[in-house]
Amino acid sequence: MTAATWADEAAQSGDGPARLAVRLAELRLRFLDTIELRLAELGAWCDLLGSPEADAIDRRAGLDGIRYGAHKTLGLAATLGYESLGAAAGRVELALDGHLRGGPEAPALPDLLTLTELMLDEMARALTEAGR
Amino acid sequence: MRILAVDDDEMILDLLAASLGAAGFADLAIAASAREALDLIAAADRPFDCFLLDIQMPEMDGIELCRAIRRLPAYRSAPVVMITAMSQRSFIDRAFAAGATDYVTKPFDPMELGTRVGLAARLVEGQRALAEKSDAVTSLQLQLERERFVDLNEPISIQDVDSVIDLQALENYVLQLSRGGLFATSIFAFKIVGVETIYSVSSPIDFRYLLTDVAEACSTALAQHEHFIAYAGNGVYVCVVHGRGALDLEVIEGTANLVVEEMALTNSRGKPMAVKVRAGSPVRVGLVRAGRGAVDALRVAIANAEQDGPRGDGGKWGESWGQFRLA
Repeated sequence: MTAATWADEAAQSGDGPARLAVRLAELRLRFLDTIELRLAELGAWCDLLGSPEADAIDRRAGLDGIRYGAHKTLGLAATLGYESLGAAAGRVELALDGHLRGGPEAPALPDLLTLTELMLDEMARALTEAGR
Repeated sequence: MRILAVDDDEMILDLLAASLGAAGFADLAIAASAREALDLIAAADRPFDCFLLDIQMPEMDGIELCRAIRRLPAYRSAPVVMITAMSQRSFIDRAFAAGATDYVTKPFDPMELGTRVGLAARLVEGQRALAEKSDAVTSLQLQLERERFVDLNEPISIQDVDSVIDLQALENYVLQLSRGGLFATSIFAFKIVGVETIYSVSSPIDFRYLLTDVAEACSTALAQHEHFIAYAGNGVYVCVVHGRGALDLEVIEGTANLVVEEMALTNSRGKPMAVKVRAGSPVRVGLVRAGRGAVDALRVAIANAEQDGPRGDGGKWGESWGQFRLA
């Protein structure tokens, strides 16, 4: 079923809030599936960034990968009931943008990795609470 | 309301669909990229009413997409709601500079999103109503101008003036007059002096009003007589007057001009219009045969007025038997 069909069915049913709740529950399950994969990916990027052997290209790929994961997480987490995960993802995205912009007040890479680890902790917690 | 939602995240699109559906917005199309969105817009058989655009997308981002949408004439004022996880002011400013009308930051409350899109829907309805009114006004203006347009030579119909009828009706009228009826009938015409100049400096509406006012003045001047008047075009009013006595055209002309003067005619910008009428030589049709002969007499009277030259000896009007017979 496409997103457009959902909208149509929900509107036609005249029972918008109830159908919305059902849809949100379905999306929450899919989100957890995504988080499960993302947790592993982001952990790998963090390992790469922390590695003394990583070169500039690796670092840039790692930063972009983390930023993408944080951005996608931020977009949905709070709406689906994972406020603290959403907040953690928001902090990562903000810090990462600052880091990429550079300047004297830009967050340093270790700080960035710490924030990313906190986000990963929140992901793990969400998965644990969901019984995964 | 037909909505196009654009986001590269399939789950966000699903969330948007669920939120919009819950808010009663069923007509939703989705695109996973700016390029796909532009293709959908280009292929749409009816235009979208509202856009929901994610800002951060690979290749062309939502801000560029918004700008591209705004470049399309059909979407210059369509609501564009930006949806972004980035609340930094620079993105918001850029989005509005690109033509966005509203924005929602992720994470968003599904019900709030419905409310925001509802606001956009009201904007769309307002614009639609305004456009319909504007179209109606434009249509009415065009119709008005079309109806009001007057060719100088056109024998237009003048409404709501006593005894003033269409030229064709007047011809029909004199056609059916019997020889007896014609015997005591005079036909002459007024002409607006310098009508070509007045016409050239007047708007169609002003000119039509002027013709109506002059018709009123002519009719007033002939109030003592049974008469019919028709506008024959080119500033000429042909008058069919019944009565056994000779018409005192000097008095009639003077009265008509006095009435015009009292009207203090102005154009639609309030500028005074100097208007005078001149009566042409009359045609007595008492001795002509009924039928087409009477219609020919109308044409002679019109031609007499058109001559607009010096009057007969002593400035008096002479009857135009000769011209009539030639006609």
